[in-house]
Amino acid sequence: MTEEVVATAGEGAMEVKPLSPWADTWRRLKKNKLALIGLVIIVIFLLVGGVQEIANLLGPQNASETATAAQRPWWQRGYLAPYDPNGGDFHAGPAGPINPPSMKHLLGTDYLGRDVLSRALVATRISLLVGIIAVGIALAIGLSLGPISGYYGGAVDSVVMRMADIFFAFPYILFVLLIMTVLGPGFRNVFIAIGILSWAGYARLNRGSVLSVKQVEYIEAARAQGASDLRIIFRHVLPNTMAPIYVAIAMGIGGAILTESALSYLGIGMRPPDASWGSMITDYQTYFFAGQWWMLTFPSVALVVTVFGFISFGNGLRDATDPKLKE
Amino acid sequence: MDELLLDVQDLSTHFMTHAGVVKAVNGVSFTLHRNETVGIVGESGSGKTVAALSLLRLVPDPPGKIVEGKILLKGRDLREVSNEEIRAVRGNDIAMIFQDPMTSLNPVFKVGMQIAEAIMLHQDKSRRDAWRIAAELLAKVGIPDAESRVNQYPFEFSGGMRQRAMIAMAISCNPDILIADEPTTALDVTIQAQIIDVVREMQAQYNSGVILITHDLGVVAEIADKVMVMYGGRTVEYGPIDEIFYNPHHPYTWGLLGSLPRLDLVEKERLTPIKGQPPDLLMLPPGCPFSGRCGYERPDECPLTMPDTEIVGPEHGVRCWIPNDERVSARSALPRFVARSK
Amino acid sequence: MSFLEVRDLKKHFPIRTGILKRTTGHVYAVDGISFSIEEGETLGIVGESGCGKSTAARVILRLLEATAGSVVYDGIDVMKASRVEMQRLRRDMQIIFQDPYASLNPRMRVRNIIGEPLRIHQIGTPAERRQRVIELLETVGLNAEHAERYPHEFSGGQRQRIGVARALALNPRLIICDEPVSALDVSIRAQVINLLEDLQDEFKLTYLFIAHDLSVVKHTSDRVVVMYLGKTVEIASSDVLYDRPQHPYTEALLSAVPIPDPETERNRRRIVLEGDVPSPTKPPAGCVFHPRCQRAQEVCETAMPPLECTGDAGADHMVACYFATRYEGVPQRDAPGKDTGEAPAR
Repeated sequence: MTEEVVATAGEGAMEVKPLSPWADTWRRLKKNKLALIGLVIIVIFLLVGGVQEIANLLGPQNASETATAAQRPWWQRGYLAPYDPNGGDFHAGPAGPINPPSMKHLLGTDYLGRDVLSRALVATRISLLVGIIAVGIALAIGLSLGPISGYYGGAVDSVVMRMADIFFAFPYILFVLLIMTVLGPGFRNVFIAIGILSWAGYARLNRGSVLSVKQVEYIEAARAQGASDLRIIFRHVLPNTMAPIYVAIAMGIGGAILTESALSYLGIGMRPPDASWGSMITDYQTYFFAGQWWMLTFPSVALVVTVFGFISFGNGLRDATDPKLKE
Repeated sequence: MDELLLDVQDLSTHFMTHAGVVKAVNGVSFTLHRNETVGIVGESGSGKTVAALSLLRLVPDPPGKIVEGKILLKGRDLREVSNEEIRAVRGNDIAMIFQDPMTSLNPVFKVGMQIAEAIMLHQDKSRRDAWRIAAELLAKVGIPDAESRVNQYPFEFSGGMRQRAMIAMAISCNPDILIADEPTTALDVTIQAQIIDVVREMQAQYNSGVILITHDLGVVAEIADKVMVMYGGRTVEYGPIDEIFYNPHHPYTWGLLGSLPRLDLVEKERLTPIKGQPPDLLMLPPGCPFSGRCGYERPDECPLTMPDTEIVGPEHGVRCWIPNDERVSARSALPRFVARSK
Repeated sequence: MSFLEVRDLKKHFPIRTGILKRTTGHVYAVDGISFSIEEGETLGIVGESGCGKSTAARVILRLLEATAGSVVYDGIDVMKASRVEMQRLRRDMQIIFQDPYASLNPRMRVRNIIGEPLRIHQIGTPAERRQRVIELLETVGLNAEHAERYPHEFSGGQRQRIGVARALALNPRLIICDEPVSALDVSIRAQVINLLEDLQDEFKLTYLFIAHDLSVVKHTSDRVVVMYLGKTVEIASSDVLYDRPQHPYTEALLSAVPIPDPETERNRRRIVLEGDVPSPTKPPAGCVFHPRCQRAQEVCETAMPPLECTGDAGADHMVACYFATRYEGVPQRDAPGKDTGEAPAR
């Protein structure tokens, strides 16, 4: 009885004029230190990766043919780093190509004398691209099929959800290899493969929200006004099912970065000399136990910190949008 | 007069929210005697439920806090007692029935088990005895075939039967006071009639005092002896049932009565609603909370200070700045009261 | 021909269980109801939860497809209307919902919520639509500055006004009000009822007013349909129904409504029905009410009595009961075209 009473006592709490959903989410997110740290990491990651991408887009095409990359102004170099990430220098330091961190090379140099910091920075761009392309593709497929599946139900639903099950059940690496053979080689195709592979999670997540939202009276109201199904799905249903999707996006980008690294580690992703965090880790792992720790450490740290940032922000966002956790 | 069970004096419960202090209950006083039913009437946000929860110190803290007043249960101030003691009071001396019978029973335990638990918690009874008593109680509140029903889960009960089960749980320890918070609001009208009858029978049998919290003046007219009308956390009027219905003095009480469509009146009169919207609880005026919607207000008095209670009849008090004679003449101009003053 | 004619309307929801989704039973939500509405009147539907009144509303608007029966609006069979015809019908028939918190899209501004029907039907230019939205807001007692806000910034009563404005946007002729005031506070309820009455006068609207609250239905409606477990048990003009109910269920329902008048309450005789409303998945054989009915006899278990006029409680008073209450001293009038001889007198 006592527990009973206490459990339901919350019903009596006074209702205060509600904030808009966004303002309310932000107010509660602000209280979560870990999520804020995650947000800061994400912002830094986006800035670094974004500037790299812009530099890359502006770079080679507009550059004069004569100057070497290092001689061009930074925005035309194709990379935003102190050194050419792919340019080796066998006399990088007194000991030959491999040098520990120093003032000249903050994170040291690798076995070809390449600047580790420069390589890790350029790899940020790859991670950003994989995040955007893979999650973008997954969202495009998932948020078209998910709402349609949930809204229409019945046979449509069964077909879409069985397809999703197949995607869930398929061995990951095998699937990427399969798609790679269809799309052809190239690291962007790896991203597309990751995207195609992960739509099912978004579709299933969204379908669940759609099932509950489509019961709500404002959807009936739209139907009573004569709105078409597509209008109802994409104007009335979808915007109201997005909160969990935002969380999934944050988590999904982290996951895609991790997947790309794993694929690169296995040699499916980036091809030398281009760097991604995963390919750097494969490349450098043998040197770690020889005492040349810096090569492996920094890309690993970058990977862990970035993925941690996305996941802790995603977690925080989920807590902040979960009505069950509202105080 | 029967024994005085509960004497609430100047009770105030506030909620500290991120947006400011919500004065949910603000200086509320009332008494409850044995065999008496007090109706607390108000709309959503009036503070009626918080007032009831405060009596058992069930307001979640934080954000809620009882900031002032006395809650005297047979002379003992419940604000002063230990957590241990208040737990003993809950269920034993004061029991509560909630509005939503769908959520107030735990879905994973058998109904009999939940009642038996309550009995074992407060009384020195064996498990066997507690189950037997649970079955008896279910039979007492009118559940047919109670012997087998104790072994069922809440989902096997209809809404009305769950509310009966809640009542059975509430009376399991012979409480002196039964607080019923909107006990019939979630139920259909024919089931509502059954539940009201059960509450009435149980009260007669156990000689308890009942506090009935409701927005429905019809239910109040049916079973209450005394009524307290709340608005924006304040008691605006209280008195015996007939006084409140036939000689109401507060403009809010008139508004409530005038807003109701009546089943029993032959001619269709136009309703006289209360103007405006319910108050924003964060921005209540220091004075009368009804002053924005009243229509008779004096701008330099009403919103600024809350008037003291004026006694206008036997046990009938009102808190309003309008002088008594002006109130009476203003009231007689209202359509609902023209019809009645014949 | 009436403005809206509902004939023997049925809506059964299949219950599917197991992985193969086999249909193992039906919810008989609406099981053969008939009534008609004249232009400009308000027809009330009362009944307890699960009686099928809200389902009926949705079937009439074809938000749900009927299992059987017909709905004829102004000479057009709604159930058979093509897509294009349906689109036209939607402009004429609108609905106001119960829950003002659920019936407005929380992610849309009020301007877009009220303007949405105009956009769907491509009425006017954007500027004209903006103007129309402001007009509508003023019609329902709000003002232009409310247009830019979101639903959560409004109280329940104001939200319900927004819902009314949306329903009015297309100049409908029929509005189905599905429990429009039951989620509102007492004082706000009266405001909305008065608003609906004013709008009816101003725009010559016809209402189908669905509610569980008999006081509200009596106040708002000209005629009332009483439903129980998917069936119509009684239809009468509202004054007559409350004065001379014939069906035992109606009588119990009326007597169960608490009246906000202590004197009346003390002197009232109450009929308290026993038990609960049976599940609509297994409605009782015969008269659906017989398990709870004090007058029930053998005949009640065999077949549902037809809905017909006994003639002694008013010419338009129809009741489905073998043992309907008869009233003496009321002038006997024969209902046109109705055979009244079959109902056995009690």
